[in-house]
Amino acid sequence: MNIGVCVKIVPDYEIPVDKFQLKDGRITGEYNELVGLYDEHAVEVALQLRSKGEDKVYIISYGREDQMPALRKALSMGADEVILIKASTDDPFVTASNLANVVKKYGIDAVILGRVSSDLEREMVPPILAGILNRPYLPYTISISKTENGSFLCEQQLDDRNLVLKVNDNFVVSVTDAPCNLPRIPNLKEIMRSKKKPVHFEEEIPTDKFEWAEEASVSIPHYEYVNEMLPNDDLSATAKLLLDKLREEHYL
Amino acid sequence: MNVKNILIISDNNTERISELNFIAEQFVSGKGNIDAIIFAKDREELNVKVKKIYGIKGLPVNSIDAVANVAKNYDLILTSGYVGASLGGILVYKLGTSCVFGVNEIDYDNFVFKHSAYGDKAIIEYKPNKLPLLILIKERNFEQSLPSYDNPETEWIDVEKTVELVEEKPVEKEVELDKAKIVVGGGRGIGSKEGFEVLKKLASLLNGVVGASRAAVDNGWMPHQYQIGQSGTMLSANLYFAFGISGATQHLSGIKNVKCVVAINTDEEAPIFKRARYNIVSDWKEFATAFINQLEGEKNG
Ligand SMILES: Cc1cc2nc3c(=O)[nH]c(=O)nc-3n(C[C@H](O)[C@H](O)[C@H](O)COP(=O)(O)OP(=O)(O)OC[C@H]3O[C@@H](n4cnc5c(N)ncnc54)[C@H](O)[C@@H]3O)c2cc1C
Repeated sequence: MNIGVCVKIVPDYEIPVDKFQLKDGRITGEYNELVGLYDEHAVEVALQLRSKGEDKVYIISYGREDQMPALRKALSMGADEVILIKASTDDPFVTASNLANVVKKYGIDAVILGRVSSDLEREMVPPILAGILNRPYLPYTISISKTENGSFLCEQQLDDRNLVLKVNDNFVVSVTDAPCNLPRIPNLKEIMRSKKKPVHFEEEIPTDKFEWAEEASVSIPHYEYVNEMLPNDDLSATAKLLLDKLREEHYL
Repeated sequence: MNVKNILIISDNNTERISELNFIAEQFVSGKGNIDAIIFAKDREELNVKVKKIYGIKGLPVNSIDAVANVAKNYDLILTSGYVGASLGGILVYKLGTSCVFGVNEIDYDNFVFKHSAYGDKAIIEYKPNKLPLLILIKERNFEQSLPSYDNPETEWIDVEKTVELVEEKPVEKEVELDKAKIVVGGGRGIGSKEGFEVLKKLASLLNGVVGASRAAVDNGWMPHQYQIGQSGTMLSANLYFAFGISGATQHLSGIKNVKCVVAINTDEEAPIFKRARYNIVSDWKEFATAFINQLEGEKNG
């Protein structure tokens, strides 16, 4: 079986507010790039699903060539090969169309994505991709396992319950985080091995423009807060001081 | 934009339906129809008072064509939650509707929809210029209005059975984090499940509840229902303690409405200190222990 994990390399999502800048409505300035947070969980789900020696895990990314160092993280976690499609836009429809093209070309059976990208957070590429491929789409998935008769069990994590669904055919899932899919930490051996793993480059395919609602503006919200540092040389005294303050202000 | 017919697509959760209905009402202002597709197990669960209810007993994943067939007749389609995630994007693709996603604020007069991006560090405004439009709502950001149409008409629609539900595992939600007035939060800095027992003790002395950052949840120290933040719960507490939490913007997003934040962190550069009212540079456990001793001392003496 071929398993494809669609991964987006994103600007470090933990950069603090005071280092965050925009240019033409997108992040700019100095930041590191890394595998999207939910995408890392998606890679983990794929690796747990893979039967070693039988299945292959492809990392599929619609991105830039200079993002290869960041994509190696997914390889060093244990994925087998990378397919990098040279991207020209961040439009979700164009992204999904290009991913779908590669899914068909490489004969990918199981398609796994992160629930939402860690930059624009639109949550649109996974369902559009499922729509284009005309496959069942299961969001909020936390794990996938094989059954003896060749079907798959996908566990979805909802607010108030988990659902286990049985899918017989090829599918598209998007993954949400859970302790069962905490991304493994690559070891030195895997990091070394990842450097020799195959990388395929694919050209973008022409795609019709999808009429999304127009982006009218992008702005940075500003919040102001008053802060006070409490002394820390005697923590019992600090605890007492804090309690007094919170009571005085009626928080307690 | 002249909106006449609105379709809500949801499970049968009253709060979710009421939130979508509130938004729908702002658009029709008495002059249009609000109908709904509701996923429910039986008639009793379908107790939603909109003009016309389409009931579906199956799974969202099996219902795409059936839902698309109904949805194609509407100007606005409003959805959220698990059902929205399962169907929204695919409907957009199948019906070729315009779409706005992750919507957490709406300017109804100007037909402008806001979406937070980059972990709440940016706000993107969308201005759709055509109908039909599908709106994916980010839950719990709007008021609620329970539908109250007098004589709803009901129709059940059949769906496929391609994907099968094999098991349903209920998870216990013990506390209502979103409604708690005092919350004691712990992050990666807590380091273990046992650490959270200390925070639970503190929370109970303060008549509060415990919450966690994503890092703590992913490590299995607290169940996911306790996650605070952009992809967890949005607090409405007056008082929040952040123990061993760095203050990533995705976490801060969930404590936006908290009146007073107290942060305890060993790193004096931690971003949480720019959000908190009272800051203490300390090992979380040392301070939590001192705080517990102080509270217990008062109680006993
Ligand atoms: C799309 C998306 C959605 C997300 N949604 C959420 C969300 O809903 N909620 C959420 O929380 N995060 C969310 N995140 C993740 C977020 O970006 C951060 O990764 C996460 O909040 C970090 O958790 P943390 O502060 O516990 O861990 P860290 O960032 O690792 O911080 C741990 C802190 O503990 C301190 N510390 C360490 N040891 C001690 C000690 N002994 N005593 C005191 N302090 C100590 C450290 O100095 C550090 O500041 C999301 C990310 C993405 C991309």
